[in-house]
Amino acid sequence: MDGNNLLYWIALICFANFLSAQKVETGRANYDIEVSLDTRKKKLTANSMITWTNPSDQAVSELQFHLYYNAFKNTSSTFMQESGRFSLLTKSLKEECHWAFSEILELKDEAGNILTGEFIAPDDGNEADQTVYRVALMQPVPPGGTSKYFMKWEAKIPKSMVRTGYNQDYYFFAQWFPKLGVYEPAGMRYERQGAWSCHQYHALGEYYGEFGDYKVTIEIPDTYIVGASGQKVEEVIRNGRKAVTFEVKNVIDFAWTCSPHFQTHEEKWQDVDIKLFYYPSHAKFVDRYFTAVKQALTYMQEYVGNYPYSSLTMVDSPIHGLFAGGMEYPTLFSSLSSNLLPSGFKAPETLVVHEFVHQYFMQMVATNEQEEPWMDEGITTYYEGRIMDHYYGEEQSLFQMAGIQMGNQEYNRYEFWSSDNPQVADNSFMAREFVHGGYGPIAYNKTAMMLRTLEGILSRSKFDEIMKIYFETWKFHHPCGLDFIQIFQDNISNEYLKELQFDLNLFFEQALYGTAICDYRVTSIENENQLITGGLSENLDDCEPFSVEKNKNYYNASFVLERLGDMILPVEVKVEFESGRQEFIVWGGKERSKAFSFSGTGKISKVQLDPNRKLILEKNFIDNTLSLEQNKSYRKYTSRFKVGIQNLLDFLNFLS
Amino acid sequence: MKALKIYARAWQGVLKYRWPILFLYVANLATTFIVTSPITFYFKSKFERSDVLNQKEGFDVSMVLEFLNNYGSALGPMLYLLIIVIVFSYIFSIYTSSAILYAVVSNNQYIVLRSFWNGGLNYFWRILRLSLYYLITIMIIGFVSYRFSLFMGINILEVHSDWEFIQKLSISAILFVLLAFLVLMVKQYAKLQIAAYNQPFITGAVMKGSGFVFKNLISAGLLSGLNIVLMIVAVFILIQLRNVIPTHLWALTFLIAQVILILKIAARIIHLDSCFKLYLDLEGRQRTD
Ligand SMILES: [Zn+2]
Repeated sequence: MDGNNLLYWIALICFANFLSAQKVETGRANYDIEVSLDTRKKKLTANSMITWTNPSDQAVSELQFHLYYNAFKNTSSTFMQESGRFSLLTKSLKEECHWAFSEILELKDEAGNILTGEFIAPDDGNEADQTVYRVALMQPVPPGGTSKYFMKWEAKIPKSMVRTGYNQDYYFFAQWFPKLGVYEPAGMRYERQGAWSCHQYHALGEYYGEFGDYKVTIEIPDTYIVGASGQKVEEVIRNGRKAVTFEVKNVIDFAWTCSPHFQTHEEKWQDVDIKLFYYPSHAKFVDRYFTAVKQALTYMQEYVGNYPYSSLTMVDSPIHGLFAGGMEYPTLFSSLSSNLLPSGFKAPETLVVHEFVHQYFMQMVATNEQEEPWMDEGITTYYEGRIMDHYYGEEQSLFQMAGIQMGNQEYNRYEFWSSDNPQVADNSFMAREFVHGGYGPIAYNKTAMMLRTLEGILSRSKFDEIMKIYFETWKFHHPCGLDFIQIFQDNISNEYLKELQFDLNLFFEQALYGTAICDYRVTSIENENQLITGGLSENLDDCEPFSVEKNKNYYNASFVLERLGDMILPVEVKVEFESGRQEFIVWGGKERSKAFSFSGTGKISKVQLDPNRKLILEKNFIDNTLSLEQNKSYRKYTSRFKVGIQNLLDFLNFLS
Repeated sequence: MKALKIYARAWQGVLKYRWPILFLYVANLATTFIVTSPITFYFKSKFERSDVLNQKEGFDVSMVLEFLNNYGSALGPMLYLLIIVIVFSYIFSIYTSSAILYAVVSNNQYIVLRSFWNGGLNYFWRILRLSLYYLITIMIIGFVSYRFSLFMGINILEVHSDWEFIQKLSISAILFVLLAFLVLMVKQYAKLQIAAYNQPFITGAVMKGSGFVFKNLISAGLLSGLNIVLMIVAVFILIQLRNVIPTHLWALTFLIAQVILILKIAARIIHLDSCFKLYLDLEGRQRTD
């Protein structure tokens, strides 16, 4: 799906029901690869047999391959142009000539025809970028047909590059082989006609791949220990080299790693073999890895769906390999831990949980990370927060040390609101379009906050029910954002929405494809002593004596709520009276300001907007409550601040 | 052991400094209130009608960040005030340092505030110069330690493991702490030189101070080390108590912090006092030898 036209998106949300979106079957791309690693020359030499099935009802006459390693071939590649920020890692490449490349030496079809092609740059027309290779076929692949291709290729491995490469004798291979893009037939992801989705390699945003079965034989020096996607099925040692074969079915990618220093630890969770590869100095993190990953497996199984694979491999990248830490690939992910961090800091758990959740969102529900990064990063961040808060406590799940603490989801919210400009972009942006910032805050954090808000409004049980349907419907397929929205539209009745005073379409328009801010506040409370009428009326006989006693507690109590932002959401309000009585109101939240009043109920003592913290997108929680009684809790903060300043001033005496 | 005895004896005489200690504490408290009031009033105005801070038990960082996100832009000018006051406080600390020095070497039975006050003027300029030298030296040591750590190779892409990184970083940190400690001691005895022998030039005082420190490295080091350990223990106790005492008993925590601050002020004076006594003792003995 191309284009970043907001009106187009909004129109699509409204009409998604009528556009008869189809769950189009995906193609298949099976790979049988034999690869040999030369640790001296830092090179890969390989043969691939690729079997591709055309999912469309039209013949396809060309193939498009990603040659990701060519992003590290020169300073003019789109990746290098965009990634000034990664200068720490690209430095060695530029200054020490550790350039890398990927080259197809020979490509043949089943009939033995030699196929040739050309580099194209579908995203930006950059002629120096060689990360997409288009091959013209001698014999087009018929609708629904399957063809085999035989490829000889080699690659020079980059040193310490983002997500992949080597450093010292640690190797991490991601995007390492010439890989087909995804052929999207008409109807898939609202595509009007069949086309390849094969983006160049960009600094931001990750991958998109076709489902297929992989059989990969990796030949390395026999002193090396290798970990990879899938299960190890064979290992042969000969002449100081070993060839290890891995197999995995129905995945969108394949990654592997090797090092002579790896230690391994294995455990089982239900039928899943979990394996961790780590360096000796990180033995103390083994328990933390397994605890976290098992928690994530249990939680995702209960609230989203089954993890269907028989293996799961975790890689704890060494410090000099941190460039490849915290990345997700099918049945394999890398994480990071550090002896430098205090144990109260739950970074390893957070990363393990996050990267594991990606097994669901972008691996099984294989969305297009380059075009709609929120669909994998945002949804993953949402579940990361839920899992971390569930197992480690809402207020401690990020860190708890030296008397201070913070929760994962709290931090997520802070990251969004403290970003330079929370309105710099919306989630209709492709990853590479976040040029003025906002990729992390919007694609990750805001999406997670949006989902938490949606969960809050709909109720967790309803939300979970719909997410299960989303997962079951779209696993092993390629949905787009509108498919996601449609699942919600189809599974919530209008009566339910009406009861909640919730406009679902407007919500996605504003929170997902818009930049509206959610900001409500309680502006004022007024308790006015009202006189119950007494005295003379028209008829002298009706004279009613004025009752002081009756009037003493008769108040016209009111409060005013305001909507400061543009986002419109239903707001629950809790009103507390001096008498101890409580009232709950739901306000549709449309008006810019709205007064509510009560007669004969006594004085209002406190008004609380969103008492159950459902509206996580809310900008300011502080003014969501207004109480007439002065609250002294601020003193525990100001007193600590004063002590801090006292000690700072005292410290100056050390200098004199 | 001599150092220990001298240090204990100095603490026994702590009461003679009660007025300077009280004065320094009150000055600290007053300055703190002046500099923090705008910020705390502002903080109070935003939170006193809200109950978000009650919704969580402990010290809720997320609500502090919420405050900064929504109202933080107004803190800029207030922080300027803080910086200005810190600069003035530094100059004032030079003054009080020279007053303490005067009080220590005067050998009076009791230190009345008036003499303490006058003493501040006596050595002000010399202590200011000494302090600037000290700051420059510390910066040089910091830079040297940093270069040293680079020389050892603390590039994360070059080390084999994070232990190696930690080891190399620790070595540099230890180097920095040891050198800084040494310079701190020299500053201490240079001050005494200025006062006891009315040294007009800083370089002379620093030379003599260094001479003394290197000659009596163990005793002088032990004495200063004792003092630093005492300070660290005090701060450690404060942190531990803060973790144990529930946050709603903030007044108790605040009170304990005040006691510890007074103790730190006293320890600073007693440290100089004991250094002076050690100096007299060792130099006196050497002279008779
Ligand atoms: Zn992610």
